[in-house]
Amino acid sequence: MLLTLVDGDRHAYGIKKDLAADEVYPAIGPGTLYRNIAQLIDAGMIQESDRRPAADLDDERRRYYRLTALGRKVVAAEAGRLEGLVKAARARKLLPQLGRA
Amino acid sequence: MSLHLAETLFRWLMLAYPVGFRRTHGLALFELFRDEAREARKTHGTFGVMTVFLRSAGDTLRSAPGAWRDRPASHSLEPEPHSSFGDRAGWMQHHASGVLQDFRIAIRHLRQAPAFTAVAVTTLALGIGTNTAVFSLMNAVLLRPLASRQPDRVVRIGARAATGGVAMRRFSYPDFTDYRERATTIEALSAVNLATILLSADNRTDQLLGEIASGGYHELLGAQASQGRLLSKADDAPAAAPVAVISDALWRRRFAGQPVVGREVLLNRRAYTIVGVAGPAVVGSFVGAPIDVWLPIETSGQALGANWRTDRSPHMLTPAHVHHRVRGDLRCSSGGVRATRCPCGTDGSDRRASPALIGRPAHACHISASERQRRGQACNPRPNRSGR
Repeated sequence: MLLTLVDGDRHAYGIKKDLAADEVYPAIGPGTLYRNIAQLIDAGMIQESDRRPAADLDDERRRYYRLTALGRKVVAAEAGRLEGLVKAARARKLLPQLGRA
Repeated sequence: MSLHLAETLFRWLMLAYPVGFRRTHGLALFELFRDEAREARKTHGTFGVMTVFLRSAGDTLRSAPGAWRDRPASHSLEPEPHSSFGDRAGWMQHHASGVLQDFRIAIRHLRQAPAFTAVAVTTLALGIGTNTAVFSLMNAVLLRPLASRQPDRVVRIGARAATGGVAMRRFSYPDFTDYRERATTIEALSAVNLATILLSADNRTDQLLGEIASGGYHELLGAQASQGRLLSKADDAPAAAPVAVISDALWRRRFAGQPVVGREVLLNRRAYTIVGVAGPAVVGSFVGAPIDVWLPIETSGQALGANWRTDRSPHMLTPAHVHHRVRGDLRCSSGGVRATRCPCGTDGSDRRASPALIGRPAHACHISASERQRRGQACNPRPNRSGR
């Protein structure tokens, strides 16, 4: 979810669509999504955004969320941790090397 | 499944989340569900809506327990004045859960102190029972007027025992007929008595409280029928067809308000034809004994046995200011008569209690009279059949 907000503010439906498109979480339910949003807000990683898109693209019902500085650090750290994990897995030939089928 | 139905059901499902969660995310959560459902309807129709709903319902059941665990320990329980969604439901849920918790604690404490519980329950039972009994009596004696057109002109008359005393005694049926024929101070005279009657109809038998009355009883009281007719003098003849009148309450309770006039029913296993339903105000004239059915005396022998007519005896009723005249008139025909006013004032609003009515609410016959006495008329002595 943090990753979906890296490119900019998103509303919950946009987050859900991004998760489905990335095949990270293709069928996350609304309750689970909002529970996670609540947890991330409580943890200070995201916050509700005051910025609204252009009027013709805006939907008044939507709440937009954006990454906080802490959230950006956390998602970067997590991505780095996962990258290191993947490298270690490749080094042990648990995963195929890049460029090979 | 329609979109509206899915949205309604999902609103109910959202009650599974804590109040604080619904306040913060409830509206957005619902909007998200609605967007998904609408999009699914466009692509897959009703099946798509159902799929989204079922998936969201499952997700709700999975995520709600976690939301309860996540909620802050000191979250506010009172509704915020401008919060957005589910405030009222959340407030009600909070208070309902508080009541349930209080109830559980009360039950637990009561189980820990059985002696106290027994005393408390007994005290409550006695208190409630006493209050109910007292109110029922007050309602019957003080609040409910006699169903009479001229309650100030109707009194209850009873015989006095040869040995004295204040108890109202009953008259025999032959005495009643003699009084009716001979008394000169009485405009109308009617006898009535209570009886337990078994009503059989529609493969069901019910025990009812009835009044066995002489033919002019309803006319004397000025009672009105809501359907059909009430008992007439013609019904109270030995050769008359057996007919009965039922109360409005019985008609609604036992016959579910269906047409009953002309219907044949079994009363104490004898066939009677229901000729009318009394008006709602007609409930009989015995304290605390709402009447369900009325039968004429002459034909009631079919239901109550031939001896009934000679075993029972009436009390008589006259206006208060002619008590002494009626008393003297009737004394000419019998040993002793005691007349008391009915529990109604001159305008029907006084509703004073009659000691005789309270003291002897059962097995009393009523004889009504009004002032048509002939002042100064001499007594008409006659033999006393009953020996009183």
